Amino acid sequence: MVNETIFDGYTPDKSLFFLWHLEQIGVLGVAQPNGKREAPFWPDVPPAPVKVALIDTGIDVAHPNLADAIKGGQIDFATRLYGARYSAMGDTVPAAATLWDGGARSMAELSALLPNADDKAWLATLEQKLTDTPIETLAVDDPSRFFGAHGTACAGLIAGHPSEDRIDGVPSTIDYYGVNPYCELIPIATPYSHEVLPVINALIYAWLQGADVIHMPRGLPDVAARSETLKYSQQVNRIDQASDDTLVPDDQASLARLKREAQLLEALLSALSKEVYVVLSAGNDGYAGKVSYPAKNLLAGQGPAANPHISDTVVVVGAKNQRGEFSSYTNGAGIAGQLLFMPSDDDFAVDQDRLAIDVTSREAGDYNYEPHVMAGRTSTHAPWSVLSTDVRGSYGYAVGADEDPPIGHKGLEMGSMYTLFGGTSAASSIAAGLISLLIQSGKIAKKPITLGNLKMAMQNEGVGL
Amino acid sequence: MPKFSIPDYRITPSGDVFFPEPTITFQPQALETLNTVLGNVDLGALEGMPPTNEALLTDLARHAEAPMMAMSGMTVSHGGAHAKAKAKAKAKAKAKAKAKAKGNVRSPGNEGAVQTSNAVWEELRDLTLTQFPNARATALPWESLALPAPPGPDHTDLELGDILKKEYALKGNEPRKKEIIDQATAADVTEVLRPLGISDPSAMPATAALVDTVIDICERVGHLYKDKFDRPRPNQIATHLRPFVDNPPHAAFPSNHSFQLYSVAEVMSRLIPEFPASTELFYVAQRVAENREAAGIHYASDSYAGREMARLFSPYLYIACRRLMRAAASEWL
Repeated sequence: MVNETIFDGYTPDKSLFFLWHLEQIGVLGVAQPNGKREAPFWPDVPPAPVKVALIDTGIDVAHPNLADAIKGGQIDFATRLYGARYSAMGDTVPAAATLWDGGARSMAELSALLPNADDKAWLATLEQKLTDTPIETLAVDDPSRFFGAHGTACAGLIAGHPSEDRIDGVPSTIDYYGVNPYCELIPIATPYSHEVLPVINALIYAWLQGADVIHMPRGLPDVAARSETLKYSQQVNRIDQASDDTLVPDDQASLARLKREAQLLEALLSALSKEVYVVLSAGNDGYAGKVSYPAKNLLAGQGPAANPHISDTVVVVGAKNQRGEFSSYTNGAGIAGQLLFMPSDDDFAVDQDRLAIDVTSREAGDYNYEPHVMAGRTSTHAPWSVLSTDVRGSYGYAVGADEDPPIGHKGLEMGSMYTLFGGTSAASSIAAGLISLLIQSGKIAKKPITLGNLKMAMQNEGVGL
Repeated sequence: MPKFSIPDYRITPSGDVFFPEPTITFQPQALETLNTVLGNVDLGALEGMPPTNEALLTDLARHAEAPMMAMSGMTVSHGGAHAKAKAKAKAKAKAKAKAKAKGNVRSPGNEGAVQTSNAVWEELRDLTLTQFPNARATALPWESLALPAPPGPDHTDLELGDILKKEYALKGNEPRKKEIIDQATAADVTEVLRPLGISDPSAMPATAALVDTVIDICERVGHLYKDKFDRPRPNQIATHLRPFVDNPPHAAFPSNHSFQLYSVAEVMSRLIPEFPASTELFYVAQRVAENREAAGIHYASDSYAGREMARLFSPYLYIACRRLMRAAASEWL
């Protein structure tokens, strides 16, 4: 057989339990002869929910497998710098005034966490702005309902739960479960622009709302590294290169300002990671010894030489595939001790460092790869992805027959409500869910312990990889 | 939230979610009844039912609770990382469409000759392989040349730094920009003919046809290796790069310009080693390859792989082109 030495006898199963990742990390037991599975961390009586803030694209908050987990609605820092709510078709949203000062924690407490006086001063200025600018309530549909597929998939892996929704007595959804179906989710939408401020505001919001786990399954442009890379470029702009233009105070297209804000962002992430669990994704670039920004500036040996923001309690998550091998795209496989690895999907990669070919793919049967790789190397690829939730209707990853989700009716084609998902986004979402589950079950305290101790606690509880 | 009862759905790698075959059998009508009046139904009354017991009841209830969808199965889409694979498939389709639009390759001095289109390499390969249905991957030895796989992400990152420097350097270099544009199509063989002293291809039709044929064959073989490794173009990884020319709609490794021009050099230097111009063609090939790096669409390692491909493939090329080579030789000796 062609590529025999590469595949080394690996034949994937034809099918798996649909939540195989939950079985793999020990949240669900294996199937008993009667088809039942143990769920040792899911009690019959709902416990006090642990709060997980999801800072990402925003999610479809009315997805029937997610809706019960969301108490305070969604806030969007992408369309309004200081926060937007959406109220279309009579949706009720919490009164804007309660968002900042009605929360579980205060700005003063947050400021006290920052060791640097400069950062405190910058935060104080920002607080003034936040107080002066009301959160806007916009009478339009939440864009994340249509374009929040990434966040919705992350949310499902964390907080998915079965729905009571029935149409003529028949369930309109599948009984989908995230790692912690009891947790409370705080969905926060952020933009994917060059700006840092919206993400800072998201972190502040998560803190004020009392999040016990702050999860950011997204990367950001590394302002300092990018401007350094492009310092000789002739195609730069004020974002990439220092300029002496006279700018209005709110103009964020300024390298100096972006650098200042990136420093505050890193300081906040670092300080917050010592108070609540901060879970970041490692990134999907396939670098063995590097992770992507902002995670890289919190890990020892990764960021700038004299780095004040290193944290030994931050949880940076990489991806392993269903076979327990590093997913070919994951960052950080070479510094696995500094990271936490969780299940996810995999991708094709044939190069000097990686060999991952889907044994079921056309390439595997049609092309001979043996001449190109060192003798004895075997493929690490697994063809499995994790199942999660998708925005309802034909937007997002899964497409249904209806173009738009119908108003006020939850009975949608089920195929449009779920998706296969992967990347370190999926892995870190599973990690965030698992940490919240351990806190909720009283297995670990809310105050973060070092990553090494966290891994040990997971091992003691028989969870994790 | 309902009390936990975790269904035993199954999932396949391609995202089909389905309910496994029931371990017991019963009439479809019975199931329907059970579905609609679950909780009130007298199970004993159902036709064809074995005696009731707790395990069976549990099993039945489990099946009855399963949504109708699960009975028939459903397919979910590929999110996340799969989007990348989808984009690649799209790029491939685009590549094919574009290649087909290109039509036949003209050979200077050989316009009248019958030529196969460059566009159908994948289809021709499939036709050939119908002869070897069980050995598709190994039937054609030139598809299994020992070309080392491309460098991994960390080395690639270093190469990207070089490409950025080349991008800066190209900014004010108008002559080189013109050179890059002139060389955009490897099928334009002036680059090769000029060092050989051929200003009128019709004066040396066999040599012109040979160069053209080598470039054509290598393009097809190169595409196969590109497809094998599927290495992204530089600015697909480093989005801050601004390539001088558009990314060709196929993968980066190996560089086909490098492979093609080095192959011409291999063939010509094998044919007329006593003419110093034939050695000069290796320098021409390297320049063309490096111009593609300067344009921001190739890594240095792609150029290297093209050169290695030319070496590895050359014995097959000599056999395939031997008659054309003989005819070309008679124009020189």
